[in-house]
Amino acid sequence: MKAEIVDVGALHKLLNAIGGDPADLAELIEDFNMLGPQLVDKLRQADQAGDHTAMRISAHSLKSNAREFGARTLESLCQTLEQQCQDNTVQQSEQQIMQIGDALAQARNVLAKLEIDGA
Amino acid sequence: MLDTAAPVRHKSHEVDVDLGSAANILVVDDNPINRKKLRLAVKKLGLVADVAKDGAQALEALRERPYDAVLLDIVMPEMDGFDVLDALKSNPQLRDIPVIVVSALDDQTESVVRAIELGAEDFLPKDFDPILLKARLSTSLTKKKFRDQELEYYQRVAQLTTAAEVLESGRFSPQNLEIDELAERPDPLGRLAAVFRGMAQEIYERELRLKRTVQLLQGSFLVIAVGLVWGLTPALSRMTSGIGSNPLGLAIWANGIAAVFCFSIAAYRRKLPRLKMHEWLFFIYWAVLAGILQRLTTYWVAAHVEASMLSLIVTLQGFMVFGFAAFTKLEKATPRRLFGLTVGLVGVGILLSTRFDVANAAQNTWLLLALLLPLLFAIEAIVLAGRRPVRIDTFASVGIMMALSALMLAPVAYATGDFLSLGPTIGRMEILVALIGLVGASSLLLAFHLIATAGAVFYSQSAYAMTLAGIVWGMLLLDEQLSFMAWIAFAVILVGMYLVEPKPSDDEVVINRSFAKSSGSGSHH
Repeated sequence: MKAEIVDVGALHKLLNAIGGDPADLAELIEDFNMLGPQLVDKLRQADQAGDHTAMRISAHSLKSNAREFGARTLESLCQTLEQQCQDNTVQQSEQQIMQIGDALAQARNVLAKLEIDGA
Repeated sequence: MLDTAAPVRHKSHEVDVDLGSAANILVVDDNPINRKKLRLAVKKLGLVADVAKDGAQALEALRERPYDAVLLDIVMPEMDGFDVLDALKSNPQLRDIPVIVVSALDDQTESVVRAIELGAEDFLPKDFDPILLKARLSTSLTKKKFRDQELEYYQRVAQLTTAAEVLESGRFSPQNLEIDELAERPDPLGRLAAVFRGMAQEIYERELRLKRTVQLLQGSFLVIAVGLVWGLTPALSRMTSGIGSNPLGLAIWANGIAAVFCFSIAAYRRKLPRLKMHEWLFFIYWAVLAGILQRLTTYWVAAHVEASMLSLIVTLQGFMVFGFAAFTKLEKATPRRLFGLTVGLVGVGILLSTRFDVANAAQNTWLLLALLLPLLFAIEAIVLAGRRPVRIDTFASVGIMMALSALMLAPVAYATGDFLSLGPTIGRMEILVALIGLVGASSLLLAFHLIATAGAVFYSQSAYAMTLAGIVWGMLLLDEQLSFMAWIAFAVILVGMYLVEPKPSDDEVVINRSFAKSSGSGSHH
């Protein structure tokens, strides 16, 4: 199940890109744990304000981070919302944001349990 | 478990590209995770990475520090990547920094195309492979390096062009061409600069020689003119003493007339000055020296020392001026100039030997007193060369000095009863006194100009010319014949003048012609 929520291959790729130091990767995951919920909050605020541009930027940002950490479900949900914002065809945004929040929680959960060991 | 020890590098695809040493890269991304990822990836390549969290911060950083490349995110709040690109490319100082846009290619193709159209160098997908980052950065940095070299080359071409324009403007010295550093470089442009500098140096030296020859000719002409005019004074003085004048009374009238003459010309030229205190002091000093001490010494010594001997003694002023000038570093004291003065003195000696009766010469203490005369002349020449107030017109200067000396002598003349009454009818005496005044003024004006243009040492040779003039006037007025030896003496004095040569006025050459056709209205083509 875990492998479906987080693609470990993507994490390998990220580790390779930043120079192979597991401590750096751990730090990035920590950053994601903090930043992810902030971006979901921003999505909610933008939705309440009816600001599709702000919603698009936050969805784009979260999508990009989700891709880095291999959180495919989260990436797919964010991409859908971003595209709707871009095309001005946003529907059931509140529900979409809730799904995004759930997917983020699942991804964070998996990432937290992941043992990063360079030994 | 994520096994980070697994082989994650694509060794087989790794390309060996040179990224140069410590290039500075600016990472611009609003997302902290992306920012950190890019910064770590760039650092891993051995480059220096700075980060900016938005467009405004990026532009600020780019203005403050030189960067070799920018990794730029497109989707950012407020000022997005396009805005940053637009600002960068419209800034001449920043437009040559290569920008690589970082984009999620799957959904941003249009954005990447737009960024490249706006001037971005390349693009990089967000989930980039480090090998791709290295290749992209390497290409951009190489282009930047070539561009920098190209700009430096243009700057050097501009430097050489400026030097050519300075030369073409006709006013230059080799130092103000400022291409020495350029000429030291081993590339073709450096060699061109070296050849150009060599040619400029040749032109400069040729023009300098020409300028000095002209100065020598002008100076020699003035020396002879001063001598000829000055040489008239003794003859005229003798003529007035024969009809009842006395030295002091004559000096007051002569100086007064010279002052009126000079002031009239200065007034006509609208050059009458207002003097400052230190300038007044200079003129009082000069008046005492030239108008009173010189004149009175001449009269007193002339009464006791034979005229030919006096002429010889006066020529010693050349050596005295040379000594003063060398001591005060006012002029160059070269062996050549000293030799030239000696040659001139030998010429005068030859001349006098044809007329001088050694047995009858007054060999007494008056000869030593006579040495005061060349000393006073020498001091005057050095003072004029070094201290004359340059802003004040020549005519006004001579006029002020003459007037001051006349005013200072007047009370003495009254006290001693030597005041000379002239006029109101104009007779022989009045005409002679007026002539002496005009001759005195003219010779001083010429001397003043000569000192200013050729220097004190060259001017001091007018003493030789004065001796010569005595002979010439003797020939003209008294039907005396010049011996063969006198002509030889004349030639020797001229050789001396050539050797002494005037003081060079400056080292800048002015060429009054144009090498290139000028488009300006001042062109004479």
